Amino acid sequence: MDATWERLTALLGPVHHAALATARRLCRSRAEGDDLYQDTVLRAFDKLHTLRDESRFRSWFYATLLSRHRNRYRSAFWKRRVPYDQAFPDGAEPVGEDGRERGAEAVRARRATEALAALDAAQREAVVLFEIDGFTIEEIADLQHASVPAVKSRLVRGREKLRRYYERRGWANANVAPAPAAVAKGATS
Amino acid sequence: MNVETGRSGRDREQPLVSEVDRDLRALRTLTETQQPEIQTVVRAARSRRGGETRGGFSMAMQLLQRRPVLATGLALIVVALGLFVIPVSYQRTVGYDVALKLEGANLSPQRVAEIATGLKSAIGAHGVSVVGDVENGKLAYALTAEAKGDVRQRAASFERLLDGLGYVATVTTTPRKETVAGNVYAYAASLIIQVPVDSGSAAQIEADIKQKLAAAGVTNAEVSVIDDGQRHDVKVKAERTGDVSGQPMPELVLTKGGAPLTGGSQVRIMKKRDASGAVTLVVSTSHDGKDATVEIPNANTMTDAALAAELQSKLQAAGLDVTVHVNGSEITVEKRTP
Repeated sequence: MDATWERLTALLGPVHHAALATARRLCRSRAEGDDLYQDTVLRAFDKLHTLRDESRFRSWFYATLLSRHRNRYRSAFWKRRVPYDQAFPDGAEPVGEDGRERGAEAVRARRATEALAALDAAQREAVVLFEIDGFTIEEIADLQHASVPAVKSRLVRGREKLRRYYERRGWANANVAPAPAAVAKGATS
Repeated sequence: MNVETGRSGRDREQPLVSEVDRDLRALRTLTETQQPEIQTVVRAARSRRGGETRGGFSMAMQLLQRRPVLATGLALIVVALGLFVIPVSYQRTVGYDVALKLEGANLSPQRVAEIATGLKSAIGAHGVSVVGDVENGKLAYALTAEAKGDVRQRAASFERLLDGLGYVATVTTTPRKETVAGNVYAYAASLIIQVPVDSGSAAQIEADIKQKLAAAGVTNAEVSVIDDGQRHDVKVKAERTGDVSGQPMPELVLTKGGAPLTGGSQVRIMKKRDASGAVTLVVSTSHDGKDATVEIPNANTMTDAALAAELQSKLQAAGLDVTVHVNGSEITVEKRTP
């Protein structure tokens, strides 16, 4: 058993931070995301013997993460339990050089979390993986075990839902204090 | 996996609204901070797996320790269940005994019977009992009835009607209480008096507060409501004597549009006198969403100025920017003006 944990830890090393961040983005709060990630690690431990090609560990682990995410959000208990205002509380974040900027980021992150929660699980995964994590549509199709057109459809519908959600909430042109510095989009690992 | 960037790797044909983009970037940034190291996660997962082989309470506690989200959810459920399940006994007003005393020279038995019928109808009682007696050489009638609900206004209206018709009528209403066994939630709800401030004039709100306080057992309240068009100043003064430990005062909640008013100021002052005569002053106040409760022991031995200074100091230390004035038995706590 120890050998399995050691193998998993070694394989997980290069993807740990990115996958944990993805888990948080898929969930309604940081704590829930950390819980989902831990759940995924446990599942990966149970199924590690089925991984034949270690070079495919990253996509295998992400597919496991998405599977755990889907299972979890089928339950209404998980859908409703964590209030959005606890998702990324202002005071819980480290203050950047400009404290106000981090506060504004927390507000923005909460809004994004709330809007993403309005999507169904598959759309949310597609939007998070494509828009934030930088995966290609083909990679997402592979992870979601779906066709490329299906992923494109999820992205288009997901974006449209986000846009409508922002319009309904009056956030489309909201002034939320200084916007955070642009975050370069790049490879997730 | 050969990773290519998503949106940065191609032109966007359907860019998201820029506001959504900025929010997603903020989410990206914040989810990358404060991450536990891989060893921490693996250690927690391993011990979680180890704990799953155990059973019962020990396993549940280990599970909760390692899954804070679950612990929070369960704690909320436990508290909620506690509110609805924990049995308590408390008193509540279930109706009123109405007594109407009638005097006058023009009271024939037939007229009294008509008035009794009128009273029964006015307060919705099942029946009215009538007793005639001679007091100071004059015939007087006492009509008594039991009514459900709060019938004081209807009884008072009936009294005014009789006065208008030339009778000498006096109505008294006494709340009828019963001890009920309920749960904590029901008890707490019974102690909260909701008064809508958008339901009428200042005088009507004042009467409403008085009536609801009396229904909750506070019968000697002095209530003052001033509406200057911009704000409502509501002052309530009530005294209770004797052993009131374990008998919390009802809480007055002012509402507007059905929702509790927020952002205003509320002050509750309680003086507790023990057997030796020493007075402990308890001041609970909230200003702009901040709450604080301070106690001043032996307040009766202090001068007004010393008491005001002590209260102000403690409330300010609790984060409330207020000014305190003491004038004899009157204590006022006001938001400090710049």
